[in-house]
Amino acid sequence: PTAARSSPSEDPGDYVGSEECMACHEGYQEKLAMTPHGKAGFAALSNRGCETCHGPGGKHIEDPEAYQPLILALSPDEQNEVCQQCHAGGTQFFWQGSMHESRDVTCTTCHGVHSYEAEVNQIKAASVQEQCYSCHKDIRAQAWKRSHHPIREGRISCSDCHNPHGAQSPKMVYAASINEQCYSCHAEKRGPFLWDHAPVREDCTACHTPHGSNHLKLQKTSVPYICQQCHSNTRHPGTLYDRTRLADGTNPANREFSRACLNCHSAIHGSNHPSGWALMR
Amino acid sequence: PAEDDGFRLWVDTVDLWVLELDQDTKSSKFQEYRDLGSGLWAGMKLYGESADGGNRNFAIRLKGIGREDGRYNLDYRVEGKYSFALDYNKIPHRFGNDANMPWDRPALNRLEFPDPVQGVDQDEILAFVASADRINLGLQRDRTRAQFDRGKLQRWAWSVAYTHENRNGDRPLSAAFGFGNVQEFPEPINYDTTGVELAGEFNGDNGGLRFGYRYSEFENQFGSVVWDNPFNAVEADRNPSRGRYDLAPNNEADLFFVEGRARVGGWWFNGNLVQNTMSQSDQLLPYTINTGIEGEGFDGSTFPAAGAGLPVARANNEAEVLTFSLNAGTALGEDWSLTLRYRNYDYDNSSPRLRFPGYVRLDERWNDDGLITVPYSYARENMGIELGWDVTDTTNLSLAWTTESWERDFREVRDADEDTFKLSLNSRPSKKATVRASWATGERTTSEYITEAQLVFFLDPHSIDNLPGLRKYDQAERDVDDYEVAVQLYPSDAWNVSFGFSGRDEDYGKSEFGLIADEVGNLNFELGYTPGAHLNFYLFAHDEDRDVFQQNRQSGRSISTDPADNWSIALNEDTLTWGAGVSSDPGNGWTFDLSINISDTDGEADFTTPPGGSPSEAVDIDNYEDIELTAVRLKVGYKLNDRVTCGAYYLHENYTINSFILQGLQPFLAGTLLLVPNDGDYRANLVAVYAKFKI
Repeated sequence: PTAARSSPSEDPGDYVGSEECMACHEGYQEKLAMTPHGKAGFAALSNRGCETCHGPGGKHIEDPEAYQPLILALSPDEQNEVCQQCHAGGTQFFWQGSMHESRDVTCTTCHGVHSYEAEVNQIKAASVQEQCYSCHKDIRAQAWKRSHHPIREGRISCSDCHNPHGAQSPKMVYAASINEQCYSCHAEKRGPFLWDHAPVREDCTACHTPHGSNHLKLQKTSVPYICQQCHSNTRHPGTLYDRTRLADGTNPANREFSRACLNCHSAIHGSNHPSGWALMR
Repeated sequence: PAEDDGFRLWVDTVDLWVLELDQDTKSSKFQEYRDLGSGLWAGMKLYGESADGGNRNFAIRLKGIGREDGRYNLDYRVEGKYSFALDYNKIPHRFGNDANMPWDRPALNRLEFPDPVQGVDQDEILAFVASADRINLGLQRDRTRAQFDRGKLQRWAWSVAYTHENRNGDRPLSAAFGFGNVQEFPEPINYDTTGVELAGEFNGDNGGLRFGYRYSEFENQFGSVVWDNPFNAVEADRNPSRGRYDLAPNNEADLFFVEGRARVGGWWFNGNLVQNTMSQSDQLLPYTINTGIEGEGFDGSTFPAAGAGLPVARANNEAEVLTFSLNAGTALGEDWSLTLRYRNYDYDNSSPRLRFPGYVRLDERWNDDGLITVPYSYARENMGIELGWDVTDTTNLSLAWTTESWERDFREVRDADEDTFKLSLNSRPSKKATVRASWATGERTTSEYITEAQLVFFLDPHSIDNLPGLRKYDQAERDVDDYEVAVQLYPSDAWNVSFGFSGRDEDYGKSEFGLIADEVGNLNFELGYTPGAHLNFYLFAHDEDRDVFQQNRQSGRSISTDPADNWSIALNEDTLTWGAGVSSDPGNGWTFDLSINISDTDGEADFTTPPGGSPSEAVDIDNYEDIELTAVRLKVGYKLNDRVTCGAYYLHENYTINSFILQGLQPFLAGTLLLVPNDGDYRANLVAVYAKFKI
């Protein structure tokens, strides 16, 4: 790899070797020791040690105050190029042009090379989700809602669905579409069914909000009203379901209480039953 | 530490906790996705390293050993050569405890209503249901992922990944024999989803290439579930004594992908091509399980609907999905940049169109409305151009135009185009401030809306029964505004402050009926104070306010044209989420960690209907889900020596829900049998003592 400099226009001097760096920055060796950057195998990729990322230390040794090879002093693009010397493939393959790259987020915004809270992937915060919440505060709030994926319980994380380093898909999901991402866990809904519910095949988020909802099953709007936004047919679909039609109302209707429409149309994601065209079997 | 052949293996830490849980109700909600039951909780980290300074590394991390939410990782890597990672993640999902269970279960997918009670009068059924057994409803997810990488971070890299998830348990399902005969019962779940991926990657100085194959298979151990009709014991035409519900079919997906990136002459390019084939060929069930029903074919011949008359034995359904994307960008001089984006997603459902001479409605009777299956297909194309301008070294403005086009088969709208303009600001005016802001405005236009498309299932002509003025919101014309402002300030090394607002307004004003408006606004504030390594304090608050407005008209047997039959709902949800926490490490061996989080939602559904029609009045709902969750955590630790830390932990949660849709539910409501599992209010106190050993 080519080495980075604290200022691309400035001559950083010669390489001096990591031992010279440790003569003053001794604490960093211990911190790095348990990370891939501190292992002997790192030499298989670079024999420059600290200077792989920080650039030649010759001038810094000559005058430690005047020349400081700090990565954070570089522009966001220059900082990212330091990391991308090695981390250009894998999940970072589409970093160039990604949403985070275009908004000047840097690798070190989320990852700590020398110090970090989360051991896996050297995340600065205590967990992936906590790191994401530092900017995506609306998602943090949604995760506290009644209906949510097990994110705040730590059973899955944001990066199980989203690739924060960039993807070719909407919302930076790993799969080719949001639906295909959902199918990676909810494969039972993949179909195609004998009788499909058309919007289900197009976009799960037409009805569901993935990060948290006040309603059952991550519904954007509760049943029966979300169904009535499309189905105001004759007879029961177009009926007004108000306070009086609840289970303890004066005129209860099982089209409003419990799972409302889905009490009968429970195969809402599609049915394979020959008699299931109305999604009731 | 043990040393063997130059490889050192050691137990790094052992965590031992003793938990004591006190919960005042049997609500499943507290442990919805976790296992915090009383007892021992153990964790361990075990590391290994070769004597050459760590060229070979090994790690095992175990959390919640033996618990329903245990997680176990194994990593082994030879730096610069290969690595292997194994992850086993157990996730419980509890839907509700103490559910009413009037069903006998000779097999997991056979639910019988006891003979002496089935088909007797409602009073006896009510009495029987009231004394029924209780069960807990939930399932266990066991997820495994194993991945082998060779050559990672090098010019050529290869990987093999294997994933498997088993879901096992019950979740509530309901089905009907008619409007006044709805039953809820446990759906048996035993899913196996298995995936394999083989991938290769080349990364050169000016570009890279990735390619691979991914296979996914879903297997359901239960093809269907059969349940008794509690209100009828003798099977006959128009008198079903049982029903059969088709459960999720086995299916599979084959996916090939090629991805690339390159830098050529000042431009960067990236893109991909993905082909995914999703298919299922599950054996079809008969039209019904009711042996008393006779079906009628297209030629007028009759057949037993419980065993014959199907056009095919298996579904043989298949959808081909082809995705293509290409992005490019370049710098235009020193201060300007240009980005171009293109993406096409083509979902082509090539399943055969099967013709059915009729169907059995709710296992009750033959209906001779001929039906034909509909392979919904669509293509979605996105194009965009973005011009960026570095106003200063630290401030960037960008203007983007994107267009999204939909082309659908068999739906109400064939073509839809949505053009969006977006203006973004990204600035770091000083090392102590970051400002991000954006505003986007878009308009979706569509081709003719054909209400008759909803009748595409029927072989014979039917008159439309949906309101002609209704526009399904995923196909409706609309205007969209999206905005965000986020400010982060770092007045000193110790303080950080952030605040902002964001929102999205979707206006479907051209729709006469259906969704008319959907608006959400967010406000947030956060304060952090970290004067040094020994103290950290934070406070945050977030308010989300969502308003939905929809318009409908009530009809009887035929579509009403009377505006007096109109009704509308204004739905409002206001959710305030806030939290605060302090962590302290005074340096005398003690550590303190205290946090509180509160999420408080107030929802309302306000109805409006003009007098004189039907309906002529409506009663508002003031608990369109009123929910409050308070969580307080306190952890106190004391470091006895370099190897042992001990301490205590306290978690308090208080959850209350006043839900319109669940209020007043009973196991038996006229003609409706419900499980009514308990996932409601709770107050839980968890106390734990722990010891952490650094070995």
